[in-house]
Amino acid sequence: MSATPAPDNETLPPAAAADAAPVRDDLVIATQDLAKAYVMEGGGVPALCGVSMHVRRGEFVSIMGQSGSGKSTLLHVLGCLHRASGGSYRLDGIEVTDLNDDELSVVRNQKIGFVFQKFNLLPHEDIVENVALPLVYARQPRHERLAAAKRMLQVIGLGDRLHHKPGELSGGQSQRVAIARALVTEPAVILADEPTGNLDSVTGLEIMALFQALHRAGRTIVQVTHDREKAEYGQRIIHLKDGLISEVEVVVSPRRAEQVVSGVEVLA
Amino acid sequence: MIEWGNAVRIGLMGLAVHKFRAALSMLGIIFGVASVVAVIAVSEGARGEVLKQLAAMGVNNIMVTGLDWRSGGSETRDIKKKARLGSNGLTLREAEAALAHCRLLVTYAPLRKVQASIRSGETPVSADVVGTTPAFLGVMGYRLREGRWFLPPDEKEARRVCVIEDTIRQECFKLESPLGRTLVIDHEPYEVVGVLESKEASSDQKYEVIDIKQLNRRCYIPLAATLARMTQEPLSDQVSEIIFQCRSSRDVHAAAAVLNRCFDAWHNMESWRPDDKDFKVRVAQDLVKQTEASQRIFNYVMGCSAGISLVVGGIGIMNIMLANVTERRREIGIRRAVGATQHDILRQFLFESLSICLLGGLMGCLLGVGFTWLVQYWTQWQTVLAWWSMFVALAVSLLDGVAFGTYPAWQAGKLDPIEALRYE
Ligand SMILES: Nc1ncnc2c1ncn2[C@@H]1O[C@H](COP(=O)(O)OP(=O)(O)O)[C@@H](O)[C@H]1O
Ligand SMILES: [Mg+2]
Repeated sequence: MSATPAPDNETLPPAAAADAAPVRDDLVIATQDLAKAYVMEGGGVPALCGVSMHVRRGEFVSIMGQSGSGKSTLLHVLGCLHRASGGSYRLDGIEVTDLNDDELSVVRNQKIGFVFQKFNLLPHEDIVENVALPLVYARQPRHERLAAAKRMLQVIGLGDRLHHKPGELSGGQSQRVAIARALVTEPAVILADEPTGNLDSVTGLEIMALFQALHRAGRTIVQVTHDREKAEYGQRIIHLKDGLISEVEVVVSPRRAEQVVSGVEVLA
Repeated sequence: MIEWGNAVRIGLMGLAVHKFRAALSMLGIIFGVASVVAVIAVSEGARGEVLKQLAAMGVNNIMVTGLDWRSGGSETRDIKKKARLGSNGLTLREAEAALAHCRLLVTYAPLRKVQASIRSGETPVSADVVGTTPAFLGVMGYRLREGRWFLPPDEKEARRVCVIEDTIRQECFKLESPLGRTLVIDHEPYEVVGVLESKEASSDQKYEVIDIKQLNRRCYIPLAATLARMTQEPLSDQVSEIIFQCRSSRDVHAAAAVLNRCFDAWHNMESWRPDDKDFKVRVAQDLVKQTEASQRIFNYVMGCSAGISLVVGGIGIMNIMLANVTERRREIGIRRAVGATQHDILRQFLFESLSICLLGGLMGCLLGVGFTWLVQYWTQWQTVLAWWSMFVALAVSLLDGVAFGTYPAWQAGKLDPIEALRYE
């Protein structure tokens, strides 16, 4: 642990610095001294040591750091997959720190769209079913959720692959299906943990393009990456080191993924 | 709560992925359910059998049979001979005395079996000639197919009339009406006045009152006629069997005890072993007990094997479900990540084990029908496939699914989402 006093926790940046687009004032994510220690035999392993950060609605933020710096842990806590062991966390106006397991499940379902490095699609279900999966737990009737899933797949350009199994898709396609699944519930924020980690650079760029298109359409996105270049597709980079925020950097002119994925305009 | 359609789909898909494994783990349930179905079919059949036997003998009836020194099994021991040698058999006087003595008895019907030749025209007929009284029909509860039973004048005047059973009618008269026709019994013509309805053969011959080959082959004539014409001692009132009827089936055993004491006294038989005595008092209900006992053993054996199969089957289900949960941790993690609650996961896996059990139960029902058929084929026991036994069997298999599927499902539900997602 660093011996330096209070970490340079993020302070609200001036509105003008964020982006040319008008940013609404409300915060989707706001944490205060978030801590997380993994319980192991022989004591706890601290992974987060007091993280205070916020994400505005419509922002595209990157979290960067070396392997083991606590990026995934932070994202899991933000995604309500882990409960913080200290601090507080407000998600879209809800204080989630004190929620029980069932309530957290509902919050995950309604507020969060998670995109994993390893896609995490159900291999035995075809891709419409995969995309519709969150709506099963939103208790939507089957025909409604399949219709919504179809719409979402058309938006990301896989409308002709509805009944393929995940095994029949390429990595880039699989990740797009996973993004469609994250979008289908219209969540408050999309959390992506190394979304391009399993993809080659061209497909990775496609995913970045998709994120930027979604961002333009007003979505809030938080991505985790260890790659400086990928991080620069976002508007802001939060640097993580040993479970602490070491630096918050505003990307003056974010990179632009050249390719635009077909049909994404529909989202706007 | 996920809607049922989706739950079924997910459950069946889980099965489809591991068809062979699911089939193996179902075996216990299949055999358990099959045994349940077969046990119920056999015991239902036995119940029918018992009722049939009771009906054949009369629930309220006590049979007193006279035994001479020749009758009664393989070993004719000297002692038995000695006991029975001077015996006069049963007599009508004794029957009257017993009726007067025991208030539990309502009436009686004597039977006298005689050795007699019987012909229809010139053709010899294979039949047992039995003399009896007008009371017999009511005591036995037999029904007439056509014509009439004996009336008091037939008995009083020892008329030459007869009532035949159905097999004789079929053999001697085919499609013609036998009423008014004559049969020649020991060279004397007897007019046929009635035909009894044929009695259903009991499949369990061992305990049948009437020899199966001679079933429906009796020719009844008035007792007086047999006494007058067919004995060497014309004044004898000896009969081969007396059937006493009680007021109610509850009195049967008490009345039988009284009869035993009466005949013991009259025949000086108190000091002999029951098997050596020259008479035997039998109660319909007791004869039936033997049938019940043999089938009860079968029920116990099959019932135990059903129980063991179901427990073993349940353990099989638990085993496959635990393997399932371990193997599908990633799926569980994914579902949890997109919003499934612990309950949703628990329900999904519980539903899956219920699907396996229900499917096993259905297959077990089919196999149970086969089992039942085999039992009937090999043992000749009457079996009755009861539709409710299928429901019992399916309910039991579902119970198995709940009992042994809950623990794995609970394990699945309480998995940590991130831990589960990390699983390869
Ligand atoms: N399940 C776990 N149990 C114990 N320690 C863990 C666990 N997951 C992560 N850690 C530890 O927490 C720290 C942060 O991990 P992680 O958030 O995965 O980092 P990153 O994603 O930045 O590589 C690391 O030191 C890691 O070893
Ligand atoms: Mg990581």
